[in-house]
Amino acid sequence: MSKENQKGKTLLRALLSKNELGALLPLVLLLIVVAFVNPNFFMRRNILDIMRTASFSFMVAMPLTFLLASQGLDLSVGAVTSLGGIICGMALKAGLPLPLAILCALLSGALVGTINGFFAIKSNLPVFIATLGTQYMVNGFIAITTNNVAISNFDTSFKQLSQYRLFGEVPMPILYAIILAIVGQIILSKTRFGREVLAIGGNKETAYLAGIKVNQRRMITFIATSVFSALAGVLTASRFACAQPAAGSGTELSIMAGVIIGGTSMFGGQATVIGSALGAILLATITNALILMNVSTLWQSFIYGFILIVALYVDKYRRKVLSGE
Amino acid sequence: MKKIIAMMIAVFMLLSFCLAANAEGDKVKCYSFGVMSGGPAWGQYQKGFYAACEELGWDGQYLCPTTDNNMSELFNLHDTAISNGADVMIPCVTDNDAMADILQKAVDQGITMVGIGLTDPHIPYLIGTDNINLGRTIAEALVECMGDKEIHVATMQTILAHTGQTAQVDAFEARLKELRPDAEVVRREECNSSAQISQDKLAAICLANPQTNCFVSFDCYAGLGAATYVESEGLQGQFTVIGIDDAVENLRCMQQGTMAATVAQMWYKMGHDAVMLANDLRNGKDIPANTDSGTAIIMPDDIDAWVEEMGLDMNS
Repeated sequence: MSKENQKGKTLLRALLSKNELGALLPLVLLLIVVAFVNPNFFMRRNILDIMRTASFSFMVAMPLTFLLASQGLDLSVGAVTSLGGIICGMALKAGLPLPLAILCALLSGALVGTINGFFAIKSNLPVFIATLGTQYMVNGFIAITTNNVAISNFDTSFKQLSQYRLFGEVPMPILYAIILAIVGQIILSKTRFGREVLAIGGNKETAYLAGIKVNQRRMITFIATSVFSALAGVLTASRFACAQPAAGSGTELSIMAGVIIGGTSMFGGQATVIGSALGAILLATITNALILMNVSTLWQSFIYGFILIVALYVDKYRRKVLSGE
Repeated sequence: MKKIIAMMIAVFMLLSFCLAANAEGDKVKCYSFGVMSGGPAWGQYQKGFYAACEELGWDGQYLCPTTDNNMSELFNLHDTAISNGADVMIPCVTDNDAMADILQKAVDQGITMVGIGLTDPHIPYLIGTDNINLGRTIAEALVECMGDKEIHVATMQTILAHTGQTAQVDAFEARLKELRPDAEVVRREECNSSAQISQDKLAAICLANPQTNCFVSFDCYAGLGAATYVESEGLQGQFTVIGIDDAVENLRCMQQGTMAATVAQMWYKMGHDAVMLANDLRNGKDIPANTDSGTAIIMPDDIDAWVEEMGLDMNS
């Protein structure tokens, strides 16, 4: 084998070893196509719009990465996103100052996370159905308390949380997401907590025998997921100066898809926060790019699904090559 | 664990007892259906429906899916009402083929029906927003707001598969062409009742088609998303947004100058009059085959009067 060939193979292997490839490759391919069809896509304003859309998803995707890494699952994140906005809105309407209102929203998220954790860990219920049940209950609670009518008419200070643009350009949610990505990746790869979560996802029994507090760590991931979902809800309400009862409805599966495409294993033990960020960016880019390429709306769902499948195949191929099968 | 199960059974038994005690056998059982509970539109409808049932002394119940817009659940609810011995039904027809068997069963059982939603051969009497009229009214509102300016409009509906909304958009486009043959419909989109999707898509539409200078919403949250886009881009006065329904958020956007007008459907009247028409039918009176519950264009100057007339709370 020639030196060039060997070099090429080493390079390919190094590339395939990146968990994030599943999201990165389809994203790059999509960018190349859209660059030819409509170069306006790369205008700064559009890139910022895409990043802002991805930021809201990523706020949920980041803790969800940890949850999936520990073999957890949460289908209530969309409902909790709505709940966060509604609770914050109700607290503001009740005259609470903004920081306290946000705290109320986060606490409501923590409560739902604790309930999810209790179902999954203490009662050992199947998480898929248990968190689906929580989703229905949370949506029901929102409907009962609001009669499905949005809450609006907030102070400017609340709007500034999401609407303020740093240097007049960068929407604040992007900044929050960048900070979250950095902190999340550090926790996952550089701290004991991150390693323990991955160990639990790899094999719960072995992790327990190694002295890891499995239940406590899993509970933290459930609570964190719901707390950040509620935070995403607060920021969404701020963005529109309106807390909508169905603000997060239906987002759970697409956010989870972004996390998995980004390189986090559904079966636990393997995760990447940066990959989840790329997954969120990919999903936000698809919708935007299709409109910019003037693809008919009727085709959008089909193409969206197709790109997701391609991303999964890339990820599967990568794992296959790496495992030497 | 046994205690918990025993407690749950006791609670269920107590609830069943209470519900059974509440049910009064001699009252007319009237069921109405919608795609969701509460909200600025269906919430008003429910109020109108229950008010009319109370006026007539009927036992009214509004049924809707646990997940908004879940059509198969909506169909099942119609079936459940028939099994529960409904005397009167106000069916919400969203798919004629899928609901044909259910509605035939209602006809066979002699249930009095006044429909909302799509026209259906099983229901000879309909009330509701006339989709064609609504689409035409929205076109007229847009033309009025745009004045002499060129029209390059994007439209946004809840989902493209919604037959009723598609009829509204078709009627809008047809009327727009009549009024302003030079008008261009840049794009027809869907947002699944998400203001976020609406804002994001509108930003992309404007980038792909920079001539776009107005937006028409056929979904109650699409207008809010578009108004937020106008505000964030500082396009007040340059970009025209037409909303739908009289949600307080829409009226507030109009006050802030990010929405030019909104077209309200008369949801309370629809819910109320549907029951009254059914009552007339039961009493052997003739009623029109189609009753349009009406639409109204609300301009910024009309807000105060409208809020007072409808009893809306602008501080909510």
